[in-house]
Amino acid sequence: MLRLLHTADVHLGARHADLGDAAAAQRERQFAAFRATVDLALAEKVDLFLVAGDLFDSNTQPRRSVDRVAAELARLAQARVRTVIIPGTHDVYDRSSVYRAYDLAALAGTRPAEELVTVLTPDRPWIHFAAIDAVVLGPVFATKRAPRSPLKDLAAVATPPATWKIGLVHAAIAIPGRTDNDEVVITTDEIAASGLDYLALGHWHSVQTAKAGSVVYGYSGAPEPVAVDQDRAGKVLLATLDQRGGRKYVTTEERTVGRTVFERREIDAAVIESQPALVARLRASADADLVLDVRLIGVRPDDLDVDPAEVEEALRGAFLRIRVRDLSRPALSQGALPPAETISGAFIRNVEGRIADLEAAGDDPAVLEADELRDVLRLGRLLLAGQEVTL
Amino acid sequence: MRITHLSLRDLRRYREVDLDLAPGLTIVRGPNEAGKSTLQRAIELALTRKVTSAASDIESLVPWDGEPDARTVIGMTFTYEDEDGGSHEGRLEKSFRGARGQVSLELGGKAITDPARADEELAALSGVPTEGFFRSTASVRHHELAGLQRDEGALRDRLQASISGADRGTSRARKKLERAIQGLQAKGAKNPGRLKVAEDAVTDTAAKLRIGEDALARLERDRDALAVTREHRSESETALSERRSMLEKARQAERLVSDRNAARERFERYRSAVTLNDEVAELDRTHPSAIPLPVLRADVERLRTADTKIGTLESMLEGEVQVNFDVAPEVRWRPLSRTAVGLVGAGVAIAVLGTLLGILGIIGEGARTLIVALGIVAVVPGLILSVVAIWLRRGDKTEKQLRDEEVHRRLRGRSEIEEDLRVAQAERDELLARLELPGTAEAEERLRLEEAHVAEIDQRRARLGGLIGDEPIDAMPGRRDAAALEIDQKTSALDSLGPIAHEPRARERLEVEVADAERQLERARDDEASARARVEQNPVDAEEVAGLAERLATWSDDLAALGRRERVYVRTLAEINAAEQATMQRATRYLERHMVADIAKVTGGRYRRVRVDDTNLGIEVFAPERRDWVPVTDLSQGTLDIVYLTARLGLVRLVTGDRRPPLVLDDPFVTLDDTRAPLALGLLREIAADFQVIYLTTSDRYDHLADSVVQLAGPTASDVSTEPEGVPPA
Repeated sequence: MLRLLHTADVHLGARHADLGDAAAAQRERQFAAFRATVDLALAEKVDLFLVAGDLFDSNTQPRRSVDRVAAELARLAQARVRTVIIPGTHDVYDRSSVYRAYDLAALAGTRPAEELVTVLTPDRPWIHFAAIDAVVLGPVFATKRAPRSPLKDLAAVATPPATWKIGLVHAAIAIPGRTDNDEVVITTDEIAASGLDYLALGHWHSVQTAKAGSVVYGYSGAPEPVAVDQDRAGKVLLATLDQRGGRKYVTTEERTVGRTVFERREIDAAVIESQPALVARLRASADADLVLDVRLIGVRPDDLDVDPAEVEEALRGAFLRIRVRDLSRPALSQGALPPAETISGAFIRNVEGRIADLEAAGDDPAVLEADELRDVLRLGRLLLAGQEVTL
Repeated sequence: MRITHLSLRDLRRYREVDLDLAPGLTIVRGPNEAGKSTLQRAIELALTRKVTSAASDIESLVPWDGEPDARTVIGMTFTYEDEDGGSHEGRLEKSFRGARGQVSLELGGKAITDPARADEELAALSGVPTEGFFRSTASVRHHELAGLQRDEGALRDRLQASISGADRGTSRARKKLERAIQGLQAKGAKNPGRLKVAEDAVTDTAAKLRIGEDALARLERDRDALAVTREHRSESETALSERRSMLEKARQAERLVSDRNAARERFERYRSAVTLNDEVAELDRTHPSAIPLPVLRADVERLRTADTKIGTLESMLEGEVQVNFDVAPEVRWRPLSRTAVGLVGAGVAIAVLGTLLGILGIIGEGARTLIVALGIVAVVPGLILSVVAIWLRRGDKTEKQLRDEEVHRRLRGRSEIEEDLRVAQAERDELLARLELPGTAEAEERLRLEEAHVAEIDQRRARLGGLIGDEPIDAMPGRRDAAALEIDQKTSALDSLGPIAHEPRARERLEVEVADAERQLERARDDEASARARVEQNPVDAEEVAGLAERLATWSDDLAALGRRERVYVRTLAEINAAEQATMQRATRYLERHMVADIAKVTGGRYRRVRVDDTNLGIEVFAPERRDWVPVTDLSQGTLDIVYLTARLGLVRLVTGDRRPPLVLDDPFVTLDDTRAPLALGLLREIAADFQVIYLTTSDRYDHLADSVVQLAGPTASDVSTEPEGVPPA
């Protein structure tokens, strides 16, 4: 029986432009998730630790990040857990690759002959572990955009005979219309024809497993979410390869290692009574691991005066990061309008007429201008009515 | 719209009150604190305030002594006209309870309880859409007129407020917007606006980010270059290694060729030596003569001598030798010698004679010289003849010796000659017998052959000696075979080295190439070291750059939001200004047309011309005394109040159009004297034909002009207690 832990897309050092001052904390969490993955591998006493690409977010990561990774790999090596890594599309194995700049195996304190830490490259696309009777094939390229499918002719690659053939690929599975511009694409037919027992995939950040022909394959997803829309991230895959009665059995199990949760929440501005009410409502779901992206939508009544920055400030500390964006549109004038002969009446009629024209035009610039004019309308209306407005 | 009945419950001082109002002019009279302003406020709230309003002023409407759950309720009955001019009655009751406030509006037999819809219907009936609008148009407070003269802009502002449709005009809105825009746009370094702060932050962060990104890109390029130089160095090392390997092969090939050539030379030498040795052996075995050459040569010599002797002896015996020793040969030298002596003697004598004669002076010098010359001429031939005579004498002497020998031989006899001949023949025969040859000629031939043979052997031996020196001849075959084997081995080794072994001048070429490759490797190492140095000297930290990018994103979002906010403020201001400008032009023309008659009427015809500035609503009247236009603010307070009120009422007509809201006036004519006050109220009476007028006053001087007078009682309670505890007496 062979047990392996499969992770990918750690994206250490990733940029999080949408996280503001929480970005650095999220980077730290990504590394913490990687450490938790190593902890899990040690606790489960796996034979293999596979990283299916994009361990680093770029090839220009600082030395200290590489050293931290190497220290974790050293823990695995000390437990005699063999680590196999392939470069991905972010840490592509080009000439400036981080894997060329730094020798991870050496930094992890292992000797080449031990083969405890291996980075597969175009020159070394597979490794045979006689002790565990397994071959790991990791076809990679020296370019971000693959010249061909990495699974092409994989079954024909000559390797020493072994009971277990495990693939390690960083690629998207072809979905017409969605993966057309992807850098590396494979197909389920290629997976089925690969002759592998298990294919560890990276590139997609949400965990999922499936079977093509007799080949079990899976995306481990990112151990810590890298962006808002990665609702199935935060996991790794624990795979068990067993042989009973001449038949091979491959089972996979999801394990959670990440902490950060992203949530996008839309709130209809019409149901918000006031800014304090909104703050109270959001505080009710306070979670230090939650990155909450709040969008106020719908039509905003005139008496609702919300400053997103103030709301964010009021909730600072209640979330890992909260972002409030007011995408609601101010209401047009309701009820009886002031007479047209008044300044207020003329103002409202002029602006509303222009809004109607712009919204009728329908194109993006016009809609954007119409949105701004709605704010102009609301602001002017309230100011002319002598109401208090926060400017 | 005309209010016929008004009922109030729990509104300020009123716990409950009911009032009937005339459809035309109603004077509501009462002393201070009788609740006149509360009535005005009640009408404002009833017509414009939403019953669900949670505004704080609603709470403050409840009387201090009201029940804990008391809430203000305002009811009214009113008449209104439909579009066809038909008159109808409606009822309204508003109970202000915050979110639980209730409204009931009955119009045409239908009850409306939805607060928003009720307010819409009321606004449609009254032409008053908002509370602010009501306060700025149809509801005139007393304090509005106070201070108009003190503040030159107050009149304009208030009229603008009327025309703005709000109770505070546009100036406050404009000021607020301008302050907000200023707050955003301020460029000063000390107090920068939020936009400048954000712009500076974006600029600064973007610049830092650009530097960081450039450094990251440079790091990638440098790492790329390092990889290239590393590959180049590796290739150079490989090329150098290959060149060195080839050079070593070439050198090895050279050594092998040299060794093989040496082996070949040895082989040739040993092979030649063996051949020569064999030839010598063969020659030794095949001598023409069995007798060694020296012996043969001596025998042949002796044979030759014997033959000569035999021949001589035989010749002697056969008389073949002719010796003429009978007649002594003539002496030839003697005559010559005599002649020579004579000539020499004569010559000497002549010369001596001449000399003596000369010395004696017998003859002259010339004769003496001539005589001496003659003597010399005689001596020279004499000397020549004497030499010839000596040479002839020597020949004669030899011939004489031969003749003497001949004579001696002849004298020995024939037998001795024959004996000698036999001995000589015997010796010759013995020699021939030993040589086993028939004759001297054969012996000579044998000797020649033997000499040639021996010369041949000597020649080969000499060559052999030259070939092997002191080496033992017996070792030659073995050494020859060893050399042959070595040749084969070297040839195989050369073949195994490949084409380079057969390339001429390969070593020289490769030495040049190795030197080139070494220089190339040196350059590649330098390049790699430089590239590595560039990589290591790049201090960029990708995470710091990421932080910059994230800060830039945040600042950019802020800047975009602020930019949008600025655009909204600026646009709002511009739209307000545009609306104001358009509205003011219409309003001023309207006022100029409608105010003139009212002012003339109230002032008794004193002012008959009015003009209004359409930029600021500044009003000027034509003063008959000055025969010039004067600002109304220069006129008396009473006149100013009249002008303001007529303008205000004119604006109400303008802005309400065909709607007729009730006019509620809180004693605006308080400053008018008793002459003008009735005139002004007379004007209101005329207006009351179109609008319901509710005039609140403390005075009874208007009572006779009113359709109805409502008298309010003043406050009755008085404070009879002591001062509040802790507060000292005034």
